[in-house]
Amino acid sequence: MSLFLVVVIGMIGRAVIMLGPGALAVSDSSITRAQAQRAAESGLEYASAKLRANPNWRGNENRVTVNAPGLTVVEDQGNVIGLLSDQQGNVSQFRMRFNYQDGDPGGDSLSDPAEENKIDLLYVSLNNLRGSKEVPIPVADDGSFRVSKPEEGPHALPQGEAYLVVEGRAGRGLNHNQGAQPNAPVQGQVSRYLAEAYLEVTLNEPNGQASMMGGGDIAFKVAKNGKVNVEVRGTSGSSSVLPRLRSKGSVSVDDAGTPGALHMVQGEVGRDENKPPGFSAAPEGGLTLTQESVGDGKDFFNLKWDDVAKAGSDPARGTPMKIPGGTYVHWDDGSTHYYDMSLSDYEAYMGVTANQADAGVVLSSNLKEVRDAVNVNATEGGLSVRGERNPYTGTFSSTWSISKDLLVQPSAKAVESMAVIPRSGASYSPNDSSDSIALAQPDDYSTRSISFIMKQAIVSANDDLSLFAQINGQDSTLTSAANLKIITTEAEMISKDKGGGGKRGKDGNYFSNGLGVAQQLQLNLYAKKDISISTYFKNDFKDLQLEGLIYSWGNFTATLGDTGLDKWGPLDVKGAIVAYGADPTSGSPGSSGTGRIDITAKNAEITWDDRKLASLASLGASTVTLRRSVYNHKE
Amino acid sequence: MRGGSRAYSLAEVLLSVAILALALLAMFNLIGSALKSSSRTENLAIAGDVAEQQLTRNIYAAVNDRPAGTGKEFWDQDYLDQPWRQGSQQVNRMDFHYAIYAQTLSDAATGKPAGDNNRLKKVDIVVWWMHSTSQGNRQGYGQLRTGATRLVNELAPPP
Repeated sequence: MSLFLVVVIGMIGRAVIMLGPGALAVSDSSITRAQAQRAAESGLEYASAKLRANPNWRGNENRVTVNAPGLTVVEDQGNVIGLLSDQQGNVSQFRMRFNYQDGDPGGDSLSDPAEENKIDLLYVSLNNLRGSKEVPIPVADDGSFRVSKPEEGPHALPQGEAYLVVEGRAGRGLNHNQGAQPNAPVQGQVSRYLAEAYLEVTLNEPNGQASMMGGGDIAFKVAKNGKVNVEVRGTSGSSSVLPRLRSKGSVSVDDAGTPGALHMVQGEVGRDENKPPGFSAAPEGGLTLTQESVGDGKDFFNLKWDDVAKAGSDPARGTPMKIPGGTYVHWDDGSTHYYDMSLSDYEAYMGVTANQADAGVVLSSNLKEVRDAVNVNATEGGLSVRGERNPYTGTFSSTWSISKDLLVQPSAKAVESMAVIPRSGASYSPNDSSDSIALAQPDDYSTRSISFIMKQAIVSANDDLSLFAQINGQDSTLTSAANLKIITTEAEMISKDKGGGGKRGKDGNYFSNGLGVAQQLQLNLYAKKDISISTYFKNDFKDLQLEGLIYSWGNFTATLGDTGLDKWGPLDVKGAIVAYGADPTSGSPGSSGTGRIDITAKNAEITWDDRKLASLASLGASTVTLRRSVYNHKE
Repeated sequence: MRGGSRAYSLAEVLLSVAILALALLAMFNLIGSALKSSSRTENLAIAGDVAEQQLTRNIYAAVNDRPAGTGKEFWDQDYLDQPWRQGSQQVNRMDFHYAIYAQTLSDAATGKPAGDNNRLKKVDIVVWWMHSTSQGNRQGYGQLRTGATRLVNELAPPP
């Protein structure tokens, strides 16, 4: 009996001794794990705050950024380490790395952090908020924690998003860590929590969003029985964003002198009823009118010049290609000629027949004759300007291929504007041939002979930017500190309805043998003054599709038709057009007396589509906000 | 006695009873101690939950300004000595008291808010409790406390 009792008591004793510390350990572990989770989430909060303040941030302030009771944060070349302690003295830590830890400067364009601030974490955070293209999210090599293949990654991060991975740690193993050395090696057990989040840019003020915002009048002129159709698509769907036009002046659709059709399903038109004609259109689909006026406090997208990413403004985008301001002229033999003068000076100069033999500076494909040799070498492969001969027709065409940012710098004669034109210039409309040059010896080149192709590039000029060419931009931006003028044509070789002899592309359009550039602008246009676009070509007007954001401080004009000529091309806009009518930094919309939107087209399809505005993030942050789209416990 | 075996003497019985009593006493102490420890562990876990709940609940109210004015009250002031929020929460018939403190974090170099116009705050909570009888008499392990901390930025999504 005694033996039995002893055995039972012994068993109980052993159970108590064995399970007691175990339960304590389990409890301790769950507590430190919760601390680690809070630390990781604190790291996300810290990074979110920094990114909202500076969309280019990637942990590279290279100093102690916060030194407060209970919190020290160190940023060192992209590695961020924060040491937290609560009022009971429990220490926790968050760590994240943007640095590839691959040498100086390495694939991340960052020097390596100090040895004590290196982070043994496989997952790398990535900031693509102001990026212009999708980029792979790299993963470090196991063991060395070095990112050796930044171009490879299991996932891609779209432009306009940031990917954050934060490791939280807590436990006794951190208790010796001090603010001065927040990343000291752990000495004992710690719990670990790995949190990941995607931050994405979204547009502010959903109720103020509109396909068009004009500080002055919005005036459509359509062909006989033409129509203006305003819709909403994209991620916003039709739930919160109405089809909307906003003007601080009047809104009108003119169909051969009578109010034209304006189709908006449950749409909204903001206009000033006190500015004649107030509203003049034949509404379809049910729209409501709201009152707006200059100085009423209802702002448009407020996109300041300083917030716009320009070539050379973001070191993370690398060294921009630099070319001098001036006029770049393409001749029908495929050659490119540079004149150190503004477009208007060039037109005046060539107005004198004797000057027309002046070939200017004949350029090779990388324009090295007028560029700094160091810059040419540093940006090799980013620019190609070539004339090519079609072996079938024997005619030439010229193509600008731009895959890196291009900055127009003051020329030797201090010209800061840039123009790309055919030798004979181009007429903007039947009634405006001010940019057409009468040549004594005819030149066969026209706007459709020149292609200006941009891929994930920003082209910036501190004065006028004039492009008389076919333009194809993919995730690209044109910025001008003055006027932006485009005279362009739809290439007949890829016309939707003119497929003779060509191959059909994936989109159903026909491509001719040889040349072909879709007349589709997937880019952002930003100008401090006016933006004007014409598709006039040989007594006809071509189609035009615009995708992205078009933003001018002054007026916006799209000319795709002419009543007298009775020739028309349709306009398709996916994104938004803003003619602010003032400097967004200091003035309210329309306060400068400008901001008109004039569109002349056969029909106009205006679609608000925030997917097409994703590149707003690359333009600036003032109209956008940062939203956490995904949060996940990674490990 | 049969088979040549003899009975235990009284002294032997007393000695064995005494040894057994001592062993039982030690064991009961051990069990008591283990139960106390188990209870402490359980309450520590509950306190951790209370801390998390109250942090989440109150940060949510501040970030979403519910009720109106909560956000301004939270963001515009520091609560270093006087708690921003305090109260108690009863779990398993035990009162867990808490106090929440908050401080705006400044950039170490500029002194401006660490998140620029998007302020960043460090929020601390302290939770304490007294293991007592239903009559309020102190028993068990007495008063214990735990804490938690986290950062929150002004434009944070709801936790």
